[in-house]
Amino acid sequence: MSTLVCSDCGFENALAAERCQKCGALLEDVAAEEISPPLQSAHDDFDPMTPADDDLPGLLNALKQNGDIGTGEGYLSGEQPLDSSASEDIFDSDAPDENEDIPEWLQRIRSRASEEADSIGEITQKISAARQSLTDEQGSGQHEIFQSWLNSIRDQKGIKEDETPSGDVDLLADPANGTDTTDTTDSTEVSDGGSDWLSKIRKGRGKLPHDEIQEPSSLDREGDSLLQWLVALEDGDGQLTQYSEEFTDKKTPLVEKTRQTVINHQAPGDETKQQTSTEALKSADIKKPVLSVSRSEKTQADQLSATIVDERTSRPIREPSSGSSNRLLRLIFGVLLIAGLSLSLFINNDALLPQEHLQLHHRALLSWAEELPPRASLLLVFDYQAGFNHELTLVAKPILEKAIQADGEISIFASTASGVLLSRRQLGGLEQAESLLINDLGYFPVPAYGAYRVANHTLPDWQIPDLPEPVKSLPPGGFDGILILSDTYEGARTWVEQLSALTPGTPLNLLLTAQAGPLMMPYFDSGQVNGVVSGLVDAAGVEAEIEESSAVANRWRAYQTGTLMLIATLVIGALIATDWVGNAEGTGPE
Amino acid sequence: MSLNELVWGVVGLLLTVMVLSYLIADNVFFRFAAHLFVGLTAGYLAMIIIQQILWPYLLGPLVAGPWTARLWLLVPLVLVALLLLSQIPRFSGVGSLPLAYLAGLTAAITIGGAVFGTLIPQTRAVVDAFDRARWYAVPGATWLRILEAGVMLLGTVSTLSYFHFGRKRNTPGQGDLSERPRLFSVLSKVGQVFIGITLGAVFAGVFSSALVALIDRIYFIGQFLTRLLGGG
Repeated sequence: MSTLVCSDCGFENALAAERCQKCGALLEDVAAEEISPPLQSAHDDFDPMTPADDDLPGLLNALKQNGDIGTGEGYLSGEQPLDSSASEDIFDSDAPDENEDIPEWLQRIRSRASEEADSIGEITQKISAARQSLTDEQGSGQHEIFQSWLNSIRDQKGIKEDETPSGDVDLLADPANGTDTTDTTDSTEVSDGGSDWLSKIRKGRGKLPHDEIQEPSSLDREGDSLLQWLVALEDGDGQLTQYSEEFTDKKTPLVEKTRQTVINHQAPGDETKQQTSTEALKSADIKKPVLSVSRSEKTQADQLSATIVDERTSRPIREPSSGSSNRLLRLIFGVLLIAGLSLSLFINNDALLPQEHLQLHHRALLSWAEELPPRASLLLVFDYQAGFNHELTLVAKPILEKAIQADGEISIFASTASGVLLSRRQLGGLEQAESLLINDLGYFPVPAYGAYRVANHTLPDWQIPDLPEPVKSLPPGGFDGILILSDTYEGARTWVEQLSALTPGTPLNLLLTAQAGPLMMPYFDSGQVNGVVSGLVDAAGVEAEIEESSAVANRWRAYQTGTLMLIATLVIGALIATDWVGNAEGTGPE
Repeated sequence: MSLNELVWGVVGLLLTVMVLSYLIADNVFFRFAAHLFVGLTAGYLAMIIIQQILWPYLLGPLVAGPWTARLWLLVPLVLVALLLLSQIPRFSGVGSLPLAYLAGLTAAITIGGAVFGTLIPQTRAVVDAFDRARWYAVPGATWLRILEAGVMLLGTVSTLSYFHFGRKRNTPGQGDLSERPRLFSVLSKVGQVFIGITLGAVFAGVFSSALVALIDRIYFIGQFLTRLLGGG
């Protein structure tokens, strides 16, 4: 580049200039000189700068004081994030949007860069060096700020590294202690300086330059979550749960990613520990409890809470009047029943038994008893408890007196413990008791076993010669009939099932209580049972048929009285209960 | 009245009054009578089992029976020993063998009796109810027999339908499938009537038996007092 250098003041003037622009001296004698763009020429425009790189921080400080460049404090406080792209964009004059706001110092740099070929690389180096210097200069101070901040949080919440989730504890790790467990894809770059914690925070917040971030997606979110987690920790535990649920609901690979990176970078001894904590976090999130409250439970909870609130208020005391009234009613009814039965029993008890009451199953039983051959062999099964002895005596006595012959062969079998004694009592009340020859087969605890064994007594192949068996004393030709005295449906059915299936030719007759009779009638209808008499009503009919005076007639009026009173009591009780229910529905709480 | 009759009559009277005192409230006399009954029953049952079962069929033959019988009796003896040994927690597992034997034997006998003693005969009875020869066997009762057969069939089918808890195959787009098929739903309603009648008959029977037992107790007390006061 050719210029005219003033001989007086040395100012460089254009070739076409006649006078010096600075001192006004004539330039006619001045020859044109070829001048290369010297480095020191920039000193005229950048007075604060010095050629040495050490002076660049001073330049930037001057620019910062003029407000042209944001401070690192502003970035660190979140007001103005420091982005390396800004340092690149100051030389990018192609961006049209930024031309309006370009500061004056940048315009000067750009103009020098357009005029001087080497200015870009040189200034870039200087700017980079200045930025590094600024970072180093402010790093120590900011490090102390962040360290004190984290320490204060740890002190307030008592957070320890071992207790925090693995994905979050990594970024909380104190860099001063060297616990670098963060996912540092460019860990070598970070670890070379004392401000590696700043790089971690930058990565965590996703503010690193693009050239430094290789996997920003998961880690950036993790960093945000860490800060949110810390904030939530200060605010309360409820927000912690919220963030935890957020982790689970989004089902991001964050935890898994973190776990893998932690395993890659952590010490071998810590691998199990970190895995355990991560798995615990995952399992805790997966097994999120679902609270289901029904309406009744909510009502109970409301009542309970109301009770707790009104703890000092007087509570309704359970009034004993209701229980005492029930007890009184029960007592009155019991006394009336006993009095009525007593009057019926002992005053004018010559009642007339119901005539023509006999039904088909009664007649069949009576016919079988009348048609037994001489010296008939009978089996009597006693399968009832002592409480029903009286009823079964009333039912069985007329039949037994007609069926059992003085010279007959009687075998008795008990399938209840009380049957052993009750059989003797039952047979002892018969007229022909003294001349009876009774073959006691003993007691079988399980009716099915006894029935099965009795029914199979004719099968000698199954008998063991030397073993004692009650069935060995049974008559070899079988029985002319079997009478089953039972107080329950189950006991009678067991005997009928086994005997009717295994000895179908032997007549089965049932002498039952009133509670067992109705359910055994189908066995009579199917032909498995020859005859049935059950309860006092049937016994009264049989007694009336055979025209023999017995105890049934003495009790028949009392039975009628008691039945009438019980029916009346049931009806009255049902009406009262309905009335009570109606009152309760009308006046009770909703 | 002999002394024996007097003593046992008084005991019976007192125990009857103690049990009836439950009408007033649960009291010590009722509890005494109940505990006495339970204790006597347990003791009586133990003595009956020893006298009627263990001694004549196990212990007696082991002591005085022939050697062949003793060898045979080793089988139940070992089973009894295993059952007793199972009461010790350390050997609780050895009791499974005798229990399995008992369960299997009971199931075989019970199921065999239920099938051949109840199911097949009752099914045959329902079918025989529609035998035309039976309808015309009794002159003038033909329609009654037909009605009886119809009611029997309806009661059987409807009662079985009531205990049918199946539902339609789960096919999409068929609405609410939680309900039973309409046929079973209708039949189950009818079955409820039959079940109600059956349970009512059972209740009436229980009612009647309890009333007869009460009449017996009152009759016993009246007779005893009459004889005691009358000097009979």
